[in-house]
Amino acid sequence: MSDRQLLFVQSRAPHGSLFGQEGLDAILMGSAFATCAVLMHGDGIYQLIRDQRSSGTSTRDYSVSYGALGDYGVETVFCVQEDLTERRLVVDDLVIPVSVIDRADVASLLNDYNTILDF
Amino acid sequence: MILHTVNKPPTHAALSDCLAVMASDDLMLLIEDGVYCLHEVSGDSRVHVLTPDLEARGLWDRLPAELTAVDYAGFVGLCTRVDKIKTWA
Amino acid sequence: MRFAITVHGGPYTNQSSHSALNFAKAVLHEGHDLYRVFFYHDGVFNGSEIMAPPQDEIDLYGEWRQLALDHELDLVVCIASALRRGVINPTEAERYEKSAANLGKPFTISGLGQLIDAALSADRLVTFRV
Repeated sequence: MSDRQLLFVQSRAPHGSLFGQEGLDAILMGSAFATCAVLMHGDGIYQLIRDQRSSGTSTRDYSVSYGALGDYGVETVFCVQEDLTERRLVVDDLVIPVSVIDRADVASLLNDYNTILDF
Repeated sequence: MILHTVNKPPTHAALSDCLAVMASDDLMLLIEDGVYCLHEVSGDSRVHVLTPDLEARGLWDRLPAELTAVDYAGFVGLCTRVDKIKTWA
Repeated sequence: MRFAITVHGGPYTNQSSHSALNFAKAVLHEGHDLYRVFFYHDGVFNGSEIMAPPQDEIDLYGEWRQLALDHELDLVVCIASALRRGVINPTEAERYEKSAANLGKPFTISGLGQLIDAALSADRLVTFRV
């Protein structure tokens, strides 16, 4: 059994729903108790676009909170190269450094952690 | 080994996202509106289908031969066979 | 085997709570341990005791309540999600000076630490999403 405990998978875009924001709350709590990693999967990668200005929507810009994950001991935030490409994004568009993996390697990542928490 | 649950019809990205990531020895369970994905995965023996959801939607007599129907007890059983569960929604 | 369940969907609007309830019953019927059911996002609405569904439809709150009483289950509603959406117990109603409380027993209100504890303590975590 791996000693890598929790993998949080963020799969939804921000602002259109609360799943990402509440998902991040769960990640921050998880990091206090366990070894955690985060996979920004599919539309989840949209949460990391830099310079979100949400005063006009009255939704919360919580993207900057991803910058605190390192302080909370979250070792890695993963994203998928094909997800970036399909959405016309590059890593420089993102608010934090990420570890980019190929879609073919996602299965291996899922297997590395004991439990998956999907948001 | 992972059990992947899919709860959306094939017009949604959930099924294709799951198939793109599933390993050859993983299992899939179609639940809720995911049972509408029956024919997209008809030849895939990794795929299981939750019977109450199939019956509720009037699809009980359309189950392809390669797919396995399970009830909720079977759903629990699948969870004990794998290491963890991944949900696609 | 020890299971934990997370419910993301509110009652009736989608099938999340129905599926989770049926799965929870099967877990117990098959002789396994159900460590906790954690209600997150709109799932917190499942704890409202003032739902009044039509007579010919399932009483979701009543079913969860009865299952929890019969099997001494730990049904936990996330406090942050709940406060945001207006699902509160008497303590929080008083704290926030609200006119009523609606969280029904035996649901309890607690923090995300209970979700993480469930994820770490259970052999299998099963999430019912929207």
